[in-house]
Amino acid sequence: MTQSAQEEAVRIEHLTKIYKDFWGRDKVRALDDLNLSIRRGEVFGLLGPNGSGKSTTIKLMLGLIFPTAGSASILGHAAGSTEVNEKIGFLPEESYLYRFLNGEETLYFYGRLFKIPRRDLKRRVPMLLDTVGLNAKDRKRKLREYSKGMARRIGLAQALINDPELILLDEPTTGLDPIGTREMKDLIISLKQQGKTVLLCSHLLADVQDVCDRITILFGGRMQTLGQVRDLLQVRDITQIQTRGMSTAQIEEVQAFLSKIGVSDTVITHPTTTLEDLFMRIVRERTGNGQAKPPVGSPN
Amino acid sequence: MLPAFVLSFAFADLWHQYLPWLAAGIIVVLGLLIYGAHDLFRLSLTRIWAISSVCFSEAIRKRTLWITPLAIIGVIVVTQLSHPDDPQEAIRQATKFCLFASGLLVSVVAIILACTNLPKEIDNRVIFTVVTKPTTRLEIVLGKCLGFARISATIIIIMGIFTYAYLQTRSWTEMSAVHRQLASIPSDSPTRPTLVYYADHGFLTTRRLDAPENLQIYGRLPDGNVRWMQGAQSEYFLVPFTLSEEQKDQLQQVADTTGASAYLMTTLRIQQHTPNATEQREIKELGLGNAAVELKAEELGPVLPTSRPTTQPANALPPAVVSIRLLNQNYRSLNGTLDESAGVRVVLQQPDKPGDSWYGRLTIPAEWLNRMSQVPMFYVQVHAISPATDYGVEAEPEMIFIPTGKQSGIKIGPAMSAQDPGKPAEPELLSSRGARGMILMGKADGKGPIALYHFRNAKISRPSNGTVPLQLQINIEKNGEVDVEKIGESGYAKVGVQVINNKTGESSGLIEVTPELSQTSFLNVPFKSVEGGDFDVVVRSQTQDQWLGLKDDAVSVVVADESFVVNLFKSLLVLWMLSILVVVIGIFCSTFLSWPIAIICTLVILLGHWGVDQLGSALDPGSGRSIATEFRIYDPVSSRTISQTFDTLSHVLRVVSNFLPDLSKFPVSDYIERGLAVPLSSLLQSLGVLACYGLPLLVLSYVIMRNKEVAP
Repeated sequence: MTQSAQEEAVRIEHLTKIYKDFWGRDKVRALDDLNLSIRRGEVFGLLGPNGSGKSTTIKLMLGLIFPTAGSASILGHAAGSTEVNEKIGFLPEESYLYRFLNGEETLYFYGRLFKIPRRDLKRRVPMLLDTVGLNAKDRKRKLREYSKGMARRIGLAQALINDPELILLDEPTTGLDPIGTREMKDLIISLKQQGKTVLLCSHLLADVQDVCDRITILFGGRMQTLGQVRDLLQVRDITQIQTRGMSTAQIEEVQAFLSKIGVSDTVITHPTTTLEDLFMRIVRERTGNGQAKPPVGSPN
Repeated sequence: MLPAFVLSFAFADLWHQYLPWLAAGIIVVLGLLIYGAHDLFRLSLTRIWAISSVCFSEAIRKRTLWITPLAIIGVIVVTQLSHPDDPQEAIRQATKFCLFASGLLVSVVAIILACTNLPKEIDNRVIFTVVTKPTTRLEIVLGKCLGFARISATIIIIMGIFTYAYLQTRSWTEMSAVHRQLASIPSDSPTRPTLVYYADHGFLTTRRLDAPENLQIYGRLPDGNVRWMQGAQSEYFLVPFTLSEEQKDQLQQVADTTGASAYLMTTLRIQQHTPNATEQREIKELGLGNAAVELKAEELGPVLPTSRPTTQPANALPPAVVSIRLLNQNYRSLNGTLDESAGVRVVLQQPDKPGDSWYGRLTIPAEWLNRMSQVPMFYVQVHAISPATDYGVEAEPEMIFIPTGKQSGIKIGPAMSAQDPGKPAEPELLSSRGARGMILMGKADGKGPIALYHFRNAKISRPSNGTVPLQLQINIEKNGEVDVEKIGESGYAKVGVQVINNKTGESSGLIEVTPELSQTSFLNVPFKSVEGGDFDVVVRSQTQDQWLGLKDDAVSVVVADESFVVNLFKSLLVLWMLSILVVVIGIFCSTFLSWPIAIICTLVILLGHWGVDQLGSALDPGSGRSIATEFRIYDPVSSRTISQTFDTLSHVLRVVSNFLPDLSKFPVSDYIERGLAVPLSSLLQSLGVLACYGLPLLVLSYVIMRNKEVAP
């Protein structure tokens, strides 16, 4: 394996997917000549509106569908191969799990597909269920009785059952409440800290902005942009100065100074927090000790 | 050295027989060992078992097994509503209902589960989380098959336990009735031997039978190498012919050449007696009164040296007449438009020297020559027509002769024997078939024709009581003309049975039995008469005008008893193999069809072979012509078009059905309901069909799944 291959978790070259109709005629060009490289250990965001080709890219990477042209290799192997599947975890956009099994049985089943010995599963399954926040009572309930949030949690647990090197998360925060959303984001950061590669596919921009190192935006099946989140969001023709505890007089003085040196269109306001931060602060205050429940995946 | 044509015919037969195996082998090798070698190498029993366990859990938690109590209640209700006269028949019916319900239940469950599982998992995308794990598509297919096989096994075990318990209960009830009946009937009652047999052996017994090697109908016991037929008793003999390509060309050449002829030579021994009043009437009815002058010259064939006068005095012996037909390998007439049913009559010519064989010579019509040269094999069927006449059949009674101008000409003899390829096949002596088997006409003096069941190498161990039971299933074919007053007070038909040991000559003596329609009766014969396993069982109807219907296995010898539980287990094992085949076909169909269409497709594959079999002779070559005739289409072009279209469709149906599994190879209840042990060969046969169709369909399912985009 070459050095670049060792550094790359995902390499996509000229990946194209055209859906055809019954007669074999082209119906939809869902993905058009996508070229992409995801480095090991980074959190990569795949953004785009509905129908932009995000899910198609994920499905192609997992071998659920086959490319019309191009190729994708994951961790040095062809996408969809069993060698790849040994090392990846996948959380689909909805929790597509066996609804007649309970939480524990679900994890045992997926663990057996990885040939994890039963002895190890007895240790690992409760740990994962604790990690995703399913209590002892819930883990014995059938999945069909789960709320959407609980289903996402068990879905996440199954994606982590094999301690994967690459985790593909398709709309991971869908159906989660703000606490769950924050826990999910904390988990993603935690996974990154553990050296895992995470591919995050979402149309919730705030989620992506908070956790991703790099992002790409897809539209109409084509890649529109690619780069570091920080670089992409930077507005180079606007300068922002932040400070704490300035009085009104001091603000007016700064404005006068800026006007004097020829800077126009100056706006000086108090910054607002995000709604998520506000929600989290309130919840923390109500749960006492100023501490909310520990985020998912955070080290004990 | 075997002639080339025999080899080619044998090869064609083998090719036809083993074609599905060949196709299966090719699919398995290409699909699994070449295309799927990587997945085969990675195959993990842990993953397969995990997938199967999920399938099993799903079926259990969806309360699939709740349907079994309904089936059990259904069986109990149906058996309680039926009231068979014979206690053994009651047990048989109960066994049949139980196994039928089990088979129906397990098949329906298997079809629904197997056909719906995969499409639904793809539809609700649960498959996403399975195929993105290190599972191969081969493991998914195998896991699902195993899961549904486990469900089938569970249902079969439940139904098996119920079947045994229920039959045991019924058996106790029926046995009490038998004991009461035995106490009430006289000691010489004709039903007593059968009731005693039931009392001695119970109802839940399993008999291992040895079947006869063949059944032949003779006019009387064989006389050296000569086997006799009685005239006017629906008896005939069959001689098989298999022509080489060269011989076919020779016949075709005769057919195409104006003035050329080929002959069918018949050689038989004839013994005649003065006709009695009945035979005189029959002679008149058959138009043989002054046959020699009344028969057309054409039917006499070329004049042979004969001392028979061309006219006969009144009340003289009738002419020895035979009727000849050509039959194809399915015993359908090849006569064509000449004569579909009656055949062509030939008068045998008396030899100059008394004691020699009589001869008949039939000029083979051109239409027959054409047909002979088109079919792979055919039979010459020769009916004994003349009353008061016995026809003696020796080796090679029929031969085709083509004059060439030289003294010897071209002689074409019968096909070679399958058992002894160095010798020509022996003619088979049979009688016309009725609704219940071959017809055996009865005569009050016991001098009517006999049915001879020939046993070879029957493995009979020496019994402690010195007798061996014979099982008889003799049917009454016709008794409408029988005057009950004449055949005895009880009105029972009398059948004489005699066992003759071919090695020692020991005979059981004539034993009289009274058969009943569709019922099994038992008869004890001395061990000496069957010792060594090479013996004949002679059956004759002792009642005037009583016609018996005899099937090939109507007489069998009970060689051992086996455990009923073991036999029930074997039957259920056959059922399980059938259910696995159903599962595999269901999964195969569901890999490329939506579940409702998959269910229909599964049923078509399962029942296709049986359906074509049910059409039977309606699909034989030439049936198209019959249809055109029945619809009174006389226009030659339209008639030919309809005929050819139907024949082509029939051919396509037959070819397709050859590639579909034959469910009759899964005898779930065939043996056990008759109280017979399921033979090992039958289990192996079921396993063979399962392997022949199950393995390639599994491989095809895997190949389709591997190339299938599972994201909808």
